Amino acid sequence: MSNRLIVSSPPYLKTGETAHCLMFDVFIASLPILAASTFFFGPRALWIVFLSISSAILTEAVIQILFKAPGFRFKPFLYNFLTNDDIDVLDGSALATGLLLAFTLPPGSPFWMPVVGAFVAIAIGKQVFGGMGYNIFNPALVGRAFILAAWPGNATSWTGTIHWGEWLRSISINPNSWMLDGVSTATPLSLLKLQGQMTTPLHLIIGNVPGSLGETSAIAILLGAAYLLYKGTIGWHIPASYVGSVLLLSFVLGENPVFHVFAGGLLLGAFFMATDVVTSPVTKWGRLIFGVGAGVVTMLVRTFGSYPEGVCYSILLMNGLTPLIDRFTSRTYQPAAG
Amino acid sequence: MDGFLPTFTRRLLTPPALKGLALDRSSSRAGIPERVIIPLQDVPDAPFDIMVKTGDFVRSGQKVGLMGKPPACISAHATTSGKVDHTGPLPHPLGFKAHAVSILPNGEDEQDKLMPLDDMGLGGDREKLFEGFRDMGVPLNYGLLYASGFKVSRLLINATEFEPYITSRHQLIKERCQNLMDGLRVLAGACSASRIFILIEKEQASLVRLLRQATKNIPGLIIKSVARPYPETANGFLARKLFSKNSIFRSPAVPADIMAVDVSSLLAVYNAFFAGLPHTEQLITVAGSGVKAPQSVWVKTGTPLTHIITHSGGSPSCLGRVCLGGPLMGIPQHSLEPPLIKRAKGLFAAVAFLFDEHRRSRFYKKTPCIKCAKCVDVCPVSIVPNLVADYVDNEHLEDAERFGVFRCVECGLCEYVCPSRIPLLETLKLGKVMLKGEESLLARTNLETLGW
Repeated sequence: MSNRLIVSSPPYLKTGETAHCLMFDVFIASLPILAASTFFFGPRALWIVFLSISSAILTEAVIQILFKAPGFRFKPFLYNFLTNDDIDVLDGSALATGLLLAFTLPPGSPFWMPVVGAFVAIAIGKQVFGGMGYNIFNPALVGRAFILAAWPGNATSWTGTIHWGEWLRSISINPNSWMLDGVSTATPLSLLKLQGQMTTPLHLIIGNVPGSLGETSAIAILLGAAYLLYKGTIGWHIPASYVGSVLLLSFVLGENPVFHVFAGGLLLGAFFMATDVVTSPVTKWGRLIFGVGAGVVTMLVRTFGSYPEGVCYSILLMNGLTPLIDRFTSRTYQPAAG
Repeated sequence: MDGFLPTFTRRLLTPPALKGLALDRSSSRAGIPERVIIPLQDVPDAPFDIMVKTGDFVRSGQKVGLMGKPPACISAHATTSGKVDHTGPLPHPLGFKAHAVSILPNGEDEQDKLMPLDDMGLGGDREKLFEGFRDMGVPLNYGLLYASGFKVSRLLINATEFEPYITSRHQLIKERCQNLMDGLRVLAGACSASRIFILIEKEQASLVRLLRQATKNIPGLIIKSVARPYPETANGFLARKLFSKNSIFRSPAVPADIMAVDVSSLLAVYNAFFAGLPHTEQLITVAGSGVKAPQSVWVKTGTPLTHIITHSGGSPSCLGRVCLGGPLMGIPQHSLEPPLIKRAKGLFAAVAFLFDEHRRSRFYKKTPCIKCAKCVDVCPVSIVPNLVADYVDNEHLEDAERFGVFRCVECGLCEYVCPSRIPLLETLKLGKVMLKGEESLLARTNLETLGW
């Protein structure tokens, strides 16, 4: 036989799906949220998202050129950058991280906040651990937690929705007029905590309430989540157990369950942050435990803590427990005899 | 940019079944090849007995040797008439040189007259009957039969077809359902079987109807339509799952009185019992881009793969990858010389086109595991493939064993779904080899004499 056949281990069929597809799915699912936040908070939302994403991608590119690709040649820069096998900025994880970080920021953030936040998210949240697949904590939430700890004043100054008619009337050639700030107010959760004032659930579902960029509109989040669930990018285990446990616990603690599900960043956290594949457990029971734990911590912080919102810390805490959960929920077997 | 841009179609965790392609066509016959090779060993250094010499004239159905050591052995028969031109080590599909008998056919295909077991009056005596099946080359689990003293009383027939494209079991049911069920009746009577399970996919509704009609008066038979197919290597797992009443406290060992029987073995039982024909012919599905269209072909056992490919409209010179079995669990071949063996249910041939590593999209390379848990969701035996593969990679072999590396049935689905392109199946197999010091399951299990 003259021709040579290729011998390799089966299987010879693969799904065409790669890790990049998963990350871009998150990006696609975020588009309704981006549209909703632009509608409610004005062009400033797009500006913050743009700053956050470009900072994240730039940080990842620089770190990978410096530390991950030792033989990187700068001469034809773009060609080498795109063809180098050690550089995987294009896998879209930096894009997703930057986008999700921007969603957790207040609409009135100063321009340096998303930039620094994305830098911390990528550099300290991800690349320090070895890059994609090795990080322990959700990078976007690491950036958010850093900003909240470093500049609590800026990170919690919320503004209301903008008035588009006013914006159109005031716009001129001067770039300063392109951005319009809403009036400073409090989020539904702080209103409840500080003044005992309840927001109508309808406003929470539509999203015309003050809050972080991506967290206010429940409709947009559920639309994106439906896409992710349909594509199979995320499973139902974590969102269902997370939202379910919050519903149950708020009922037990005598709060309004519907309000607690739709207010604050719970839906964004449950569908986009907690389901981050790298930092959530792999076993099915582990995923359920993860969601329940995050829900319990969220409700405890919201009811008894001094912060009005606890989604960010609850997910970060459960991220830290993920290896442990995985360890205790994987089935073990006795070694075969003989 | 392949693998870079997202697609909006929903990706399922299991490959498309693609059964209709070959199942809609009727089967063809591959004819008599230029040379027939009858291997007498299934694994290297297996015991065997050779009964013919070079230059002997053999007829179709004549016994040429014994595979394995008596009593748990199985006879090998000449599958066509002709002259024995060589006896000695010849290439085997598993990649080693096995002692084999090579026959140059004379084109007449003269049958050796054998008496059907029914006429020999073997219906009553259980031990004699199984000895008769052994002599007829019917692939059954003789190791189990002899070890348990013929105390097998429950049968498991896995008629699901796990591999995409491959439909030989379904085709057999479609064409020869009545004969198969007659064979099953004989086998059930021989074991005085109390419980028989036939597993078949839900989608094959017409086949389920056929089976139900043909099996009306077999006591204790249950036809179970399952949502997803199971590989034949998972039969032990299935036996535990189906036959034990208390599923929570089931013991990890498969009870010794359960025997898994393949669909093709039922036809062999029928042929041996009623017609006196030894196992000389089998139905396989030939699929892949290397052949004209997926099709079912009746092939004489021992036909070189070249002949099958040429018969199916493929050209051996432009093939890039050929494997015995299907594209998920197939046994890769490095040449087309080896013969077809009894346990093969299909042949997958792909043309040499874009197999080059350098031509592949750079997004199709191995990246670190992102723990997306798709492999966990898809695993039919509920192990955590990414964790076990990680242990094997870092040589923590005790941990790999503790987390179930030997439970793996090598179905290849974990590697099929992996978005990071990690060679999970290869790693798990490597872990088994490192732990046991020898290859396991697919490669090493003597499927013809020992099992399914």
